[in-house]
Amino acid sequence: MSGVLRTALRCLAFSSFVLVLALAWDVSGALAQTPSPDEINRVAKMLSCPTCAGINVADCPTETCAQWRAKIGELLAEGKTDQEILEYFAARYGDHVLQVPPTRGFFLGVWIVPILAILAGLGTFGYLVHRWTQRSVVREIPAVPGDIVEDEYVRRVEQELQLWQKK
Amino acid sequence: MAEEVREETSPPPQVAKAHPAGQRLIWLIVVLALLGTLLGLLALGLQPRTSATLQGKPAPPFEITAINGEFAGQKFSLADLRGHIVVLNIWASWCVECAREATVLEQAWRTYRSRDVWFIGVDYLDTDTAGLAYLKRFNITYPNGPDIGSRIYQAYRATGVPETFFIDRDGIVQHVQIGPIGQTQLDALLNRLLNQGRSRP
Repeated sequence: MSGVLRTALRCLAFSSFVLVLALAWDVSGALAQTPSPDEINRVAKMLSCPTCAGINVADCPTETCAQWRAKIGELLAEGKTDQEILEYFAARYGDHVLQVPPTRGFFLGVWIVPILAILAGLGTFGYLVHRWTQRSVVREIPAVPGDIVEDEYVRRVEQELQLWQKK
Repeated sequence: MAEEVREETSPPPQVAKAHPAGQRLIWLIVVLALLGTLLGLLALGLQPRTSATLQGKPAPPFEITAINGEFAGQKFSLADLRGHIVVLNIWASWCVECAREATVLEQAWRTYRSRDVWFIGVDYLDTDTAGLAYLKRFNITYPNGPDIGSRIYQAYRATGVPETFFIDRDGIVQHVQIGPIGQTQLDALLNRLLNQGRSRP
């Protein structure tokens, strides 16, 4: 009888041990999947508050942002990457919710226009510098003997003088 | 005497200029074109683009996929609803004012559904969980769906939530309600639209 009881106790102890191990495994897995506030905020900082101006979702105190942070947590727990989460929010709510504008559609202009403006500015500056330097060269030309402009004036002055002398 | 001199002397030579007239003209045209573009953009930006300006104009097309009740999973578009009176309500679960009119809209839907009036709810900037919780809280049964990409909100030039658009059978926006709507006003507007349909030849 005592042998049977001992065996039963051993079985019970073993089962309990297996159960505790299984529970520990499950809990650790669940804990590993629950994103921390820092992880959520890392993604939330890359999104703009949709109902207020100039604030990212991590720093925003509104209810909408709280809902969005919860959604980010859900998506992180599902194993989505930061980029996938940003793409989800852009598709769901529009590209304007992204802190960094995407390189597509209307927002492509946000990237291209400044570059074009800088290039146009540099081009204009280069052209102006070139023109100014050319001007200074032209101004120096009359000082050179035999210049056609100087000759013409000299010729006209001489003509005037001759006419005056004849008179 | 001076006149004689002028006659005798040849015209002054064409001195090479830094800015020939043609080049100046091109620059003038370029500058004017740039200024014109800037002014045009400014004028475009200054134009009122609020939802109220849609009144009397064709309603922009929309399509939503309902997430609630008997309509869950069904698509609704303005094109499909042509010939019906449509009440398009833009709302959000985080919007306090929306909650004030939620029961009024649901009650009206139940009253006017049999009279060929369709209520469509557009959930703006919401998570699905929060949106569904809101619909459940107010027991809203008319089709509601998320505004994917905020496209409907932008197309209707909404400036906040709630905003409600009353669209007649021809697809013309007959009234834009900015802010929550009351029962009396809702009834008056819907009766006007229903009578308008009857009086049409």
